[in-house]
Amino acid sequence: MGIVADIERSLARQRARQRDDAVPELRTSTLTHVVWAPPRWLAKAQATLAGLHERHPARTIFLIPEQGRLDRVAASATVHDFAVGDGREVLSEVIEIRLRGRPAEHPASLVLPLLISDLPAYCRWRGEPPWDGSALEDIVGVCDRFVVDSAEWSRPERGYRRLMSLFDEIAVSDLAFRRTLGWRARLAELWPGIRRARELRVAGPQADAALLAGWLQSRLRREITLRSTRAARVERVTVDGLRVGRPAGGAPGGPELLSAELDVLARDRVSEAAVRTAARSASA
Amino acid sequence: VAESIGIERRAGFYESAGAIRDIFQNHMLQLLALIAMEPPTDFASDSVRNEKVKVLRALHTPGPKSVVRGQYGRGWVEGVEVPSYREEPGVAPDSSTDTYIAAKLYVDNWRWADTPFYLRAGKRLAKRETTIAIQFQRAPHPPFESMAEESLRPNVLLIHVQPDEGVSLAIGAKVPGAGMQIRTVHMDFLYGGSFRQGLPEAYERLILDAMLGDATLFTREDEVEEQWKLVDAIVGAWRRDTPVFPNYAAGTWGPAAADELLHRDGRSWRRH
Repeated sequence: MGIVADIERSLARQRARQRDDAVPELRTSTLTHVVWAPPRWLAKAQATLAGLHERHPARTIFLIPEQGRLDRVAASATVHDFAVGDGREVLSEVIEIRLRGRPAEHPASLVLPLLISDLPAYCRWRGEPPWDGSALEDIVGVCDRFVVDSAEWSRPERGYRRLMSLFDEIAVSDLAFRRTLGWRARLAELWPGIRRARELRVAGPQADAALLAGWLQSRLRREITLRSTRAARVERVTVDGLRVGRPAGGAPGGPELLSAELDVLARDRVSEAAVRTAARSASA
Repeated sequence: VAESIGIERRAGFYESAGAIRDIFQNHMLQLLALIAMEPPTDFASDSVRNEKVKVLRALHTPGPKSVVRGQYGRGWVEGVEVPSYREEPGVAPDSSTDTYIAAKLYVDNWRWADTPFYLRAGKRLAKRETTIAIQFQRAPHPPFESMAEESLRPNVLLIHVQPDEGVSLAIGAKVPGAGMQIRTVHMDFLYGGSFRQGLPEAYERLILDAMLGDATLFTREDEVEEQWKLVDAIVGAWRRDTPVFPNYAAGTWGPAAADELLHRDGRSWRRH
């Protein structure tokens, strides 16, 4: 028996145990959620997942590439149950696979047999993907949507060009773009006054600022100069000296951001245009 | 019928059999017959086998282009690098034995005329799984199509033969909320989840039936002959050319030609 059979058997055993508590159980999955999480990202990825279960019952597969030359694959699987009201419970399956050596370059061989049939597979890639590595190519080949947060990259503007090259292979989401939604709505309210905007100033993360500018340029179809200052989150936006009102409500957290992307199935052409424009501006 | 294992030291047998004789000729054609047969008048062995043989007599493949053969090359299965078929102990380095077969078949009778049956089986595929998928016809006018973000998929009844025996219905459900999004969801019934007693091993049941004299699950001579007629016709066509092997990497879902077989009909293999 291989590692996949061990995982499936362990999950089946735990599901059977969960049934014994006589609480009606919904084994409902809407997707397979693959998370590429190097050890330094793992705790954050697990925290995000904890906030996702109820809205997106899924089979989650954590792929954890570890340092080391010797080939090694180790896996564990757990079933979590979550009360969803009316005395019902939803079961979510979480599989953790630690990969060392060459198996870390061939993750699809473990993901493919664990995907839930017919359902979409989303990959949340933590940190910056190794653009030329076979692990990325492998994952792109077996998933339907690739979710990154370019704010996690050391030089986002350099990564956008590589991200663009995936657009025709897989639907792509950037959480940094999703984070700017409130500010984009505020900017859109300034129409038609911003029709001939020339300069955008953003105090915020480099990625958020670049994508906000990329979005505005691609929507207005005109060159706009971006001047940004670093901040942990977007705090201030001005267009041609005019301060843009702060969006209502607080900034969405990690689970909310990811959850919103997991609702999207098709390609996001607006987001793609923003990334393309950000990449072009960076190389100009 | 997908297997993730290789030939497991059975090179002597496998080199002369290939996937078509090892699995297609018997297991797959029997599953097809069970799915396509009319309900028997009772559950007596001859009543069941009479219905199966009618299906097998009506079987045909529309031509050599409707059958794809393959042989695995090196690849990765469950995180382990595995050799190509030709590198397995006891296999000829230039072997042209098929480790994969995909075929489009028709059952020429009143019920199934013009309904394609797509079969595929292979060694060293991505996972071990035997499933029968019955895809329902598209509704004549699907009102949601223009609103669905992904192309609206037909509903599918799935009969899981192994490893988790059961039945699922894959249906398009509206995603809750104000917008109109349709997403495929599953309703699952698994034997292991609904019954406490374990299922008997396949041979356990057959040996018991043999002792009881119940031949229902055994293939009758005329069924076997009909199955071989189809297989001989396919193998005869294969003898006329030399395949370019290997043509799929271990750990994948088979050769690209098998995907093209369905794409030509505007379809695709079920996603696993």
